Amino acid sequence: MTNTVLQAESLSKSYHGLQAVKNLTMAVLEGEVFGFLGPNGAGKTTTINMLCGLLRPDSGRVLLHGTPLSGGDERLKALVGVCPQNIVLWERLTCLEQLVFIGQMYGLSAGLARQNGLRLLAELDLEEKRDKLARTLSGGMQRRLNVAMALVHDPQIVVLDEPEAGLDPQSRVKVREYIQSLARRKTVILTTHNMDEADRLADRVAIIDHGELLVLDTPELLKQRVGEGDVLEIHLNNGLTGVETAQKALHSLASEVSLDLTSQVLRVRSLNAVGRLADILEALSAAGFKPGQVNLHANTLEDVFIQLTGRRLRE
Amino acid sequence: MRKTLTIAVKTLLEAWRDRQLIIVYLAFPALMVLVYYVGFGQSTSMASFITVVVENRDRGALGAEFVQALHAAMFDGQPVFTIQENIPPQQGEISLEEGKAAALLTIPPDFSAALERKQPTPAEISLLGDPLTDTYVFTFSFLNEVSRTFIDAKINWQQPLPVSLEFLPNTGKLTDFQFGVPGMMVFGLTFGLIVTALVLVREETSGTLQRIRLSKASGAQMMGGVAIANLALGVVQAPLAFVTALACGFRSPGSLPLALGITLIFNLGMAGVGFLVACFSRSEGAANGIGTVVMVVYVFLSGAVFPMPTTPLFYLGGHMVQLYDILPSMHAGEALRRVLIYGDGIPSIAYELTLLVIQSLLLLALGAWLYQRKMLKSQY
Amino acid sequence: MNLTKILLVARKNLLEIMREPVLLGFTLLMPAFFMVINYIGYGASPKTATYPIWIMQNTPQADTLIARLRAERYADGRPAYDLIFTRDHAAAEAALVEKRAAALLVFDEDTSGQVFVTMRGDALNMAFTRASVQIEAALVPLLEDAQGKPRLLVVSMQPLGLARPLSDFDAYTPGMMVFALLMLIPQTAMLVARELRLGTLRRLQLTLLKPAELLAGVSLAQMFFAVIQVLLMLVTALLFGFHNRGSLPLALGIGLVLSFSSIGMGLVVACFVRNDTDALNTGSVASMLQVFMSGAFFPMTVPAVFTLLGHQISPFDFLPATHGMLALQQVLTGGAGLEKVAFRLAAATLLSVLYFLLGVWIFTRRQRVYSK
Repeated sequence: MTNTVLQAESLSKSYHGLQAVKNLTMAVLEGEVFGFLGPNGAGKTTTINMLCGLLRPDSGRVLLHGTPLSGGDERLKALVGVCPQNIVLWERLTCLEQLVFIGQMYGLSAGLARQNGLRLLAELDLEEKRDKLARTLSGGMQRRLNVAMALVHDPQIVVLDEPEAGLDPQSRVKVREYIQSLARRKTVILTTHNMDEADRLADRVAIIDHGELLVLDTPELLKQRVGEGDVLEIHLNNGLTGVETAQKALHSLASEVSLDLTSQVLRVRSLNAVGRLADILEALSAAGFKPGQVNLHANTLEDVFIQLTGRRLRE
Repeated sequence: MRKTLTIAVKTLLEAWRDRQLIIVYLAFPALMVLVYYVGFGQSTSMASFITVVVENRDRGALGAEFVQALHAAMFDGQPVFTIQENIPPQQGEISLEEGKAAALLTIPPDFSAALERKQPTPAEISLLGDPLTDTYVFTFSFLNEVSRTFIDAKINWQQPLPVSLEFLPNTGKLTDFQFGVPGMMVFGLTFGLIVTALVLVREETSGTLQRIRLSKASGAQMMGGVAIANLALGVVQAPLAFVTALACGFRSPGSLPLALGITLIFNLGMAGVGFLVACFSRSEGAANGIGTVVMVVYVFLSGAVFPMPTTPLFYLGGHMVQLYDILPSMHAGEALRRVLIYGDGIPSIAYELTLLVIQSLLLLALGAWLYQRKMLKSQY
Repeated sequence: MNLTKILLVARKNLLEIMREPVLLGFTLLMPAFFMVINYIGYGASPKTATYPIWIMQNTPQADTLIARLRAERYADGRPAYDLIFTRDHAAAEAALVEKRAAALLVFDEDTSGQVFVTMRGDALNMAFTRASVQIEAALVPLLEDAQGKPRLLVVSMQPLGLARPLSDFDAYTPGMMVFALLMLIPQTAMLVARELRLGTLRRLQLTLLKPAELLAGVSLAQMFFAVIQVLLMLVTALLFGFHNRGSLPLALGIGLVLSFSSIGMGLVVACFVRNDTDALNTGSVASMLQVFMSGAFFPMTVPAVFTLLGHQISPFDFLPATHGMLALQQVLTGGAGLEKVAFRLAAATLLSVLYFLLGVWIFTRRQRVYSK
């Protein structure tokens, strides 16, 4: 999982004077699930399109397995499968027909395209619908078929744009499981606004805003170092009247300490509080406190995201 | 009424922001007039469409004089013929067969001899062509006239031919272009039913019709709004076509405001037909197909493009009632023709106008009713 | 170009159209329907009509002339005129206006006691024009003889060797065929534009399918329907009594060339639209304008710009439909063979190929995967 499959070097792109992507450099590793997050209008789609060879950058370059891409590189077409955010299907073709068709458009033989199509339909629980017209499927089924269409030619790299959008919980679980099954076999680039989805699925997450890469790291490390931190709720068996002693005891371990006098719960906010729990409890004990039950409210990726991109609504 | 107007404004806004749609809708009748002008209106001379290939085999000098007479033949101060001489026979034959030349005129070897009375039998000028084409008929008629005048001059014949031709008022001076303008306008306006149907079907395929179903707007309000929008566009569309016709030299002895009124009434009827078409279309392709079929019926069987043979069923108040009187395009075309070509006023076209109004309103009401029942009714 | 991919795209399009019954129905049957309309409107009107002529006879000297008119017959035995006698000038005038009468003939006596004939009618009514020409041809020799004028010259009609249509239905059939085939323009444009609207065009751009292969596949599917359309149109016309004079296989071939030209133009239209509605609107306008410019309805009297191999070329000859119309007319109603229509057929074919290539070229440039 250490080989770089796709690399962006100083990519930039402007539209009508608006800089959509600014000097972006990042690498996608082979076999990883790469989460690509950002607010609306941040430049995600533009970046993805450049990485997939659908859009020519104004400057910079994209390397595929270390080789720079040129315009309309057909190697990339065969290697990449893209599942768009919108459901894009031929309404009057059956599930199997359109899988076979698109597979053949990628150069597969009819037999192989059919074989792959049947396998994908089985994997995505659409086997019973193979001979049904796409327009007769429910929204969830259409979205699963949408995913299958990106995979029929067995690409090395799969780009999934909001694959869980509009799905019911059962379908969402199904798709998530499927994406997880793709990992290691394929390199998955996942764009999503669902932070929970990204947290669960992505090996690494890149957050982009205003066309610039803000951070790139694993979800765990991001949660540990960005954001307002985890919150520990420590029930104290002492009868406290003030929080100052606790704040003093924890001044190097927590960014924020508060006390609920009624419930005698000490609320401690700290980055990577879980990792520091032992130290925090020891510091409290040393200060004469008697910590009891501890509740943890972990820092989420959403917290990280909001911290980096702000609360202002976007286009 | 407020909701109806709101829907009308929305429809107009959407049309305005769909540049291709609005340009096509507004400009189509004008374009039809323009194309017709290009084909028929650039010259008022008969010579623009009577081309005669001449082969002079006369052994004497009169044959050449006769050809000069053909060159000099005038009608309403304009040349009658375009004469082509000395062209290769194969080219002349091709021109005839392709309809580019109306006829091949052969002046016989004994032409001068016959006119100089040096032989007992008359000379025979043959006119080779298709007697079933209009141009050949015109050619034959004018040729007879020219030859008669030529011979009368040669033999000093003074007695005039006891035949005179009279035309109905305002019919003697028109070109094919002028005559065709009303029909082209009807053709152009009928196209509007396809556009109306497409716009309504698009509401359904894009899913926005569902929003309207869920709202408090009634079907009548929606249909009324769309009809008003159609009318508003018609107020631009028809004058644009008239202005184009005027710019191309069309002159009408009749009332242009009256003609405009006729087009607006017809426009409403076509909007109603558009609603009906949309009721039976599940896609834009189907709307175009059904709309085209309906349009062909309205245009061709109404006589707008080709004059229709009369099909009398009975007489009503002195008016012949025909089979195709069920088509509003028939009455629109006839009313427009009577106003624009013959200069008639409302009293003269009262019959056509009444039928047009009734049929247009009926179509509008039927289209609105059916659209509401089929497309706007809640599923619950 | 990969033939397999082209065939696959064609198959996909065929499947989609066949699963849209209304569209399929109209695709296949609309052209034949045009023939039916043509028949309904004009099937009963022979080109050589029996013209209703109203007569006001104010002198017995006109008897000979009227007898001459009454005796006039067409080759098939039908009378040339239906003579209606009247003394009511207002009624006759109304009949002229309402086209119940082709012409009004008034026979008077002039001051010298000779017959004077006034022919009155609507100059805009072709029936009056034709009837008056025929009447003049019949009566003028008698009138001139009565005046004692020597007959030195006779102008005679000599019909072309090629057989001609017998009815308006026959005459309009080639034009209706051209009209019907021009409807392939909006339909073809719609098929491509629909892919754009649905986003499936984007999907195809991500594959190894070339734009030219996509368009060729769409065109092939359309040609499949075109074959059926042309056959159905010819069969329908024949069933309704069309008097075919020429080779049906040749007419079929011309029809297919015309179809191909419409498909090519449809591709060009598709390059400039964003959705089905635009495609159908703009494509329909292109069709309707060409119907007139090609001379399908009436021969357009646009002056020739130059002559090529004996054929006059006018500005509208940049349209393949113009050549196709001429060729179809010459074959179906004129009985012409391949050698007579070879030039027009070749011109139509060449222009069709050019439009197709133009459509592919513009589409490829505008839909280039590696967009700017």
